[in-house]
Order: sequence, then structure tokens, then C-alpha cells
Amino acid sequence: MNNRLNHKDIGRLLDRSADRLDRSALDGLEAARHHALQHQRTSMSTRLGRDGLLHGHLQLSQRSLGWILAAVVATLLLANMTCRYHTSEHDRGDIDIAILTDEMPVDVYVD
Amino acid sequence: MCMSIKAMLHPVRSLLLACALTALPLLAAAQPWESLTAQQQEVLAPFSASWNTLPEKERHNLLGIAKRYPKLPPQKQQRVHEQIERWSKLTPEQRKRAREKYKAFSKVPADKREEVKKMVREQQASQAASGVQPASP
Repeated sequence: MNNRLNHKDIGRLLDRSADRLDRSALDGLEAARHHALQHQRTSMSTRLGRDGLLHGHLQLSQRSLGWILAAVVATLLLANMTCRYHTSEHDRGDIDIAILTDEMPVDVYVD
Repeated sequence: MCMSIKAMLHPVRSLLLACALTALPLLAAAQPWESLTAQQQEVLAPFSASWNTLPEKERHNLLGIAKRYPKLPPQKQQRVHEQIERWSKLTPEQRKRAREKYKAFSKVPADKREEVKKMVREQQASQAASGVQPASP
């Protein structure tokens, strides 16, 4: 014999149990349900802006996104500056050694 | 909520750290004369007195010379020794102008460049013959 209950059996048992509950318990459950629904509505209305978009988490993520974008831009700028700095430094080093090893005296290039 | 902010700020922190690390070479501290290797000090000997007052860029350039020096053939190394004394007497601004002039001169056609070099050689020879020192800027 199969004693396992499926979801329909559980639903029927719950309905039967609910039918046996006294009035005060049912009123308490109904009040709790209304309270929970009311809380959910309030919570949703504070997150919905005039534009109809969800705020709250979204707003925070936009701020964070701004920071991330700013940091990315700053990183790219710094990387560019560092790259230029090293390139120009390397070029100057090459020119310096070329001047110093040139057969022309340094004075030729001096005003 | 707090956890979600922290989670979102984590990549920001990482990027800021990346910024700081990227900027490090730009903020590198100046190298005092005493911290240079014996080989660097030997090549850059004419700068020993002025080294600690030189702008950071100039020090980098000179360290570049010292770095390239060991790879040069002996004749070129000798030439560096001959010229670096005069190079050390120039101001950073004069060295900058000299680099610009050198770059401009490099763009002149080879035959014209050779003509100028010939003229300079002749001038040097005549000055050496008459015992006149080359004019200082």
C-alpha cells in the first residue's frame, strides 16, 4: 500500500483542517494576510518613481555604475599617461645616446 | 541591502587599486646619486655634483644613457665619455633644445647632413691647428 501523499492530498488535508479552525483563528489569519499585502504594497510604492521605474536597488546600482565608469575612465587616462610617459622617456633616452655617440660634437646642437 | 552595496563597491575598489598601481611609475621616488650602481656612477660621473638637483625627467634620461652604455661598441663608449662632460655642463633647457635640433637635423637629407658634418670637421681642424678652443654656448 502506498502511504505517500501527493500535493493534491496535502491540499485536501489543509482545506479540511482549515474548515475545522474556529472563527477567531480564521480572523487572525485573514488580518495577518491583509497586513502582509498592505506592507508589500507600501514597499512597492516607495520603490516606484514617477517615471514608473523601479528605484531602490536600481538607484544604488546606477550610483555604483557611475563610480565604476569614473574608475574605468581614470584607469584608462592613467594608463595612457603612463604609456606616453614611458614612450617619450624611451625616445629621449635614444636621442640622448645618439647625440652622445654622434661624430658631431654636442656643441653643434646647442644654441 | 548593505551586502549588495558592498558587493557593488568591490569592483570599484579593485579599479581604484588598478588606478593607483597604474600611476605608480609616474609617482616613482627620485633616485639619489648614492643609490646608483657603480657602473651607472662611472658613466654619469660628470653629473655626480649636480645629480641630486636635477629634475626627475633628466635623471631618467641619464639613467637611460647608463642603461644603454654597456651595449655600445667600445668606440661609441669612448665617444660617450668624450661628450658626456660637455653634456653635463648644459642646462636641462639646453639639452631639450639640443634634442630638438638633433631630431630636426636627422630629417635633413643624408647628402646635406654629410656636407654639414664635413664643414664642422673642417672648422674643428682649423681650430685645432690654431689652438682655439671650441666656443661655449
